[in-house]
Amino acid sequence: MVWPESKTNFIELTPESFEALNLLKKDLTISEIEKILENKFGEPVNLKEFVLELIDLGFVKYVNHIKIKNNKKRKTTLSSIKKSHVSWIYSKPMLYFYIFLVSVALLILFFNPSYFPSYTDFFFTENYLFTLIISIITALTLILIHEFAHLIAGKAVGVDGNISIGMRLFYPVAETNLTGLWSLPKKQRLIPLLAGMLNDILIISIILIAFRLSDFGLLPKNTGLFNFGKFIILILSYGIIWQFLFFIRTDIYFVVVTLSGAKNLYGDAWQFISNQISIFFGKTPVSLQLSNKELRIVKGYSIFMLSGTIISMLSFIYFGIPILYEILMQSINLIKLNDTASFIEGSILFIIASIQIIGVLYFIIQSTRKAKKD
Amino acid sequence: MTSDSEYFMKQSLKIITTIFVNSLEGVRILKKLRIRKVEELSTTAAFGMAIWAAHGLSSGKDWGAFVSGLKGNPHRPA
Repeated sequence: MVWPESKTNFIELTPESFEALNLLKKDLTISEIEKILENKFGEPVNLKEFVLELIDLGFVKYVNHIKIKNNKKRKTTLSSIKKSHVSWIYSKPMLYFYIFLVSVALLILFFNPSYFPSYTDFFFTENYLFTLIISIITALTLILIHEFAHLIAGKAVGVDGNISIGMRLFYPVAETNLTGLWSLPKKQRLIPLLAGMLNDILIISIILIAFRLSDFGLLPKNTGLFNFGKFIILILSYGIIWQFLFFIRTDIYFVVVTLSGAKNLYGDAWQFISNQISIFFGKTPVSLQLSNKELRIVKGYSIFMLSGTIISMLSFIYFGIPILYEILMQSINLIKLNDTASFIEGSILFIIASIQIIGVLYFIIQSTRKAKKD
Repeated sequence: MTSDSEYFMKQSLKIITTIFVNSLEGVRILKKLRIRKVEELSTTAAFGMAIWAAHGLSSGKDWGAFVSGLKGNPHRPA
């Protein structure tokens, strides 16, 4: 695998491409190198296209001693925070401390099963509007904390990340780009990838310990705070379960990618499925150029990916769209009512549903564009 | 297992096996210059999943109410 200084793109080269790259370092013209390669491999090669692609990916500094302007710079979030500021957070002693906290919390949960949240904990107050507003603010805050955990863990191993908004199928998501992790050995990639979930588990653990301490009288008892704590546990637990939908590119998916050694699992799996369709219709498939091991992984994953995507799509069509429609209709009815509380409630519901709809439309447009481009 | 379902299973397996055998033939290693872009690593957290789940779950066991989402919320004013 090779990458430019900016660590914006990571690529794999075939032995032939590697040979071409080495020849390019010598003082030879493109047509001279093409001839050498043709003699060696017995078929014509398009070196110009290869070089253009390298320029586009930000790998080329000079062409005929003329400096190439490179715009391939990745944005970074919180660039002022450096490795030295945060590396202690994911140091070995701290990781042992986190394991200790989680173990204590598990014991507490085992002896106090009533702390385990149920769906009714979502309604932590009797006031529907208040619940709705607080739940949105809390969920957004927890999502940001989850992503910042990834960002900080990346910085702790010297890789800058960038937080943005994206889509996974029809789920709007916050995401942190940590592509620079490819430059590190496998083991060092795991903690930044798992940092979000580790952060969620730690928050749950601290809340459970606080519950127990308040039962012992070491912390003040407060029913409102207890309900809110259970609500946070519920939201975080659901978020952790969601990460296991690894047929879309969730945190667990990237852990699987890292452990399996596949370099482009999701893309290759889609290409593999597309190849099967091409073969079925008698068309020539696109060569995947994978090792036997990687091809086996891609085949196995493609089954999960295809079945998971189909089930998700069907459930979205059958449940998601009717719920969205219902929410939209209810929100419009509420906005029409002549009282402030209903207007606020209706507006919030309308915004939630609209974001979801815009997200889905954006996803469809992007997918179509990408398919056309490919 | 009834004979019908047995037949269905056998046919499905046959189709899956055929697809996989075809795929092996389909992948040819070409000696062309090729750059394989490695996937971007991008961690995620889904917005609104908890809210969606709660709306669905709060409707209880009734599928009709589940689809209606908010309708089944026990705390929602009538």
